[in-house]
This record gives sequence, C-alpha cells and structure tokens, in this order.
Amino acid sequence: MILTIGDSFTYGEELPDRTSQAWPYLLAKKLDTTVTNLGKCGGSADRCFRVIINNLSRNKYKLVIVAWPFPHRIEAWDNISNSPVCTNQNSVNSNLPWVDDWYKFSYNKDHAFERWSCQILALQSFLKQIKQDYLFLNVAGLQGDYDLYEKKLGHIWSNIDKTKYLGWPELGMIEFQGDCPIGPGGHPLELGHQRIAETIYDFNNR
Amino acid sequence: MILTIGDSFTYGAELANREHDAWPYVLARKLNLNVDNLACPGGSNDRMFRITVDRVVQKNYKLVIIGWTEPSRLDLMFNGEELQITSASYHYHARFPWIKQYYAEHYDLRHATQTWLAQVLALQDFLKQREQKYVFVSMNGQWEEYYYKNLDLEHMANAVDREHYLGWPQEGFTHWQDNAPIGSSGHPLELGHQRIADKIYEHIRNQFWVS
Repeated sequence: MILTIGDSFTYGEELPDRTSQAWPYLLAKKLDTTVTNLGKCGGSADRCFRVIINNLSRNKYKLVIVAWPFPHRIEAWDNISNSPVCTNQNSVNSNLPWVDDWYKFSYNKDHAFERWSCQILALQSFLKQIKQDYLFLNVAGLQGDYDLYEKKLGHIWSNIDKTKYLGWPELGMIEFQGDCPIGPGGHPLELGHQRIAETIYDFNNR
Repeated sequence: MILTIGDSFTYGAELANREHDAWPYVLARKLNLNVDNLACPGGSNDRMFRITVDRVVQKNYKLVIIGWTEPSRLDLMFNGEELQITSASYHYHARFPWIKQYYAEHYDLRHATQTWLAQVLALQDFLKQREQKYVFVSMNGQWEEYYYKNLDLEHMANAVDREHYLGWPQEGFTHWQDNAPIGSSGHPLELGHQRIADKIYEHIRNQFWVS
C-alpha cells in the first residue's frame, strides 16, 4: 500500500470519479498496489506535516508521497465539524470569520515559506530515520518565489535531499500536467492526472 | 557555544539579571561554554522548531537545548515583528481581535498536541542525523494527565527518544525548581534556575557528553 497526502490536486477535485481518476489511484494501479489517499481540498503544509508523522508512527507503507500545497494556508480546528479545517486568504469560510483578519493583520509570506522549508527538512529526516521510502513534490513550481526567497532560505533549501524531491524547485503538478484541460476551479482533469501519475512513476523508477 | 531556545522560563523572565541567573547562562558557566539563548517570553513550539532548524543548518553547536512549552501558542510575524501569541496574551487581543475568537472556537488541545509531537519527532531525527548533540526538556511535564489518558496520542509519545528528552513524560522545569521561590507571574527566580541548570547538567554528564 502507498500513502499520498496533499491538497485538492491530490484529492482529485473536479474529477467525475476521483477514486479511479486522481493521480494517487492511477499511480497505485501502475505500481500494482493499493493507496490510502489523504489528499484534502484546501489542505495545508501544516496538515501534511502533522498527519504524515502521526500516521507513520503507527503504519508503514511501500511508498509515501507528499504533494506539498502552497505554504500560505493555515490549519485550525472547526468546532462545528469537530475536525481540522484548512483555509487560505481566498477562502470564504463562514465557519471561520476570523480568517480574514488573520490574513489582513497577522500573515507574513516570508514567515510562511520559512516555516514550510523547516517542515520539509525535518520531515525528510524523520522519513529517512524510520527507513520509509518516500518522495516529495509541489503543487506548482516555485517560479518567482524561488528567486525571491533564495537569499533568505537558501541555507535551508541547500540541505533538501533533491533526489527525493520531484521537480524541486521549478516544477510541480501544474507544470507536469502541461497543456491538459483543466476544470473551472483550475484543477487537472483526467488527462492531467494521468500525466502527473506518469511523471511520478518515472521519477520513482529512475 | 550552546544554543538554547524556549519560552519565558528559558528567557529568564522575572529575574533581576537574567543574562547571569537564567538557567542557560548558569549551565553555560558550568560547562565553561558560551551560550546563544534565543528564548523569548511567550515563545511557541512552532518558533522553537523553526529557529532550531534554521540555526542548526548554519552551525554545529556543542549542544542544543530546547525548552518546549505548552502547545497552544502561535508563531506569527507581521510587519517584520515576531509575535508569539498565547490564549492569555490579552495585550494582543485588542490589536488582533481574531485571537479571542480563535481560542474560543477554533482551538483544539489534541490537534495542537499532535502538531507539537510531530515537531518533536521530526526534530529529534533531524538533530540525530546531523550528529548534533541535543537535549529536549518541557516547561511542565503533563503527559499522564493530558496526553496519554485523554488524547489517544500514545503512539507518537512512545516514539519520543527518552534518552534525549530529559524528564519525559512527567517532569519539566516546574518540577525541578521544586519549592524554590517564584516571581509574581509564576516564573522561577535565582534558586529555581540553579536547580534547573543542575538537573540538565547532571543529565549531560550522565550521557558522558562532559567529563
């Protein structure tokens, strides 16, 4: 069994039949195994970090894939659903009326990138220590953000194990899907997910 | 050089001369080393995790000591100002009205504790792989009451490296200071810090890290 985690791109948002068409399920089929897909719409990097370590403290998988979301998202607790909820500054979430103010008065992009970079490095150490095979990738290549933060975070990024990080830093799922059709919400459709699954499969088998 | 990071207990809040009497400085003198004490009042675990990774990739210290705090605190930055928020940061509530609502309606102890334990587990492996000697300590050991019995997080807690987490899971600064006098805000004073430094020093010596 493989374990996948990420945001709506990993969940399979906008697909008619996500449990057969999203890349985690396509990849599992190619690897002749099953998948536990913990992708969640709006999922944050904080959630990926927390959930993966929690899960791997109990279980072991053939392969773990973390498809890191954009680092600006936050994760809080939703008392109504009694579960964690992730959000960002573009979300209109009536359950979390404080979020607008949070982004307006308390959000800092540099800080979010630094936090995420530390999570990447520490999670790689954790996975290596427990001898869990894994690979990381991003939803989208860092593009301009790489140049923007290279000076500030380069000392952390230079310690990332790139042999386990597909596409770092310039490529991610958005680039892997290429010019495939996307849904109204901007998510890849069937062909895009096939290309993402193939890219991950090739990287894993290289 | 040793690196210490933590909250007000490590910073030395309420001490008349904190850069002499707080436990990081007392310990450094016992070890005949200098100390880079990056603790701050209200310091969150998120900040400790972030700064430790940032510093350790740049420099190998003789020893890194993290004084973990309670898991509810937030690590924010706004307009270049580092903000450490707790549920009791009433001075921030007027400036950031969302804080009150966040703690009242969108904070969960298990969720926060799970996040913290993930940081502990990842950071211990990170430090181990970099061959960085380290000690983790808690501000206040609370394991049996909160975590083990109530939160269903024993699978994560059992993965904590007890050799490097002094006092885990029951003990912390508040135990080691024992009945020493405390300040009006509950922080240890000179004698409490001496006892905390003695406890950490004894642990380091038992690990054969010092002769």
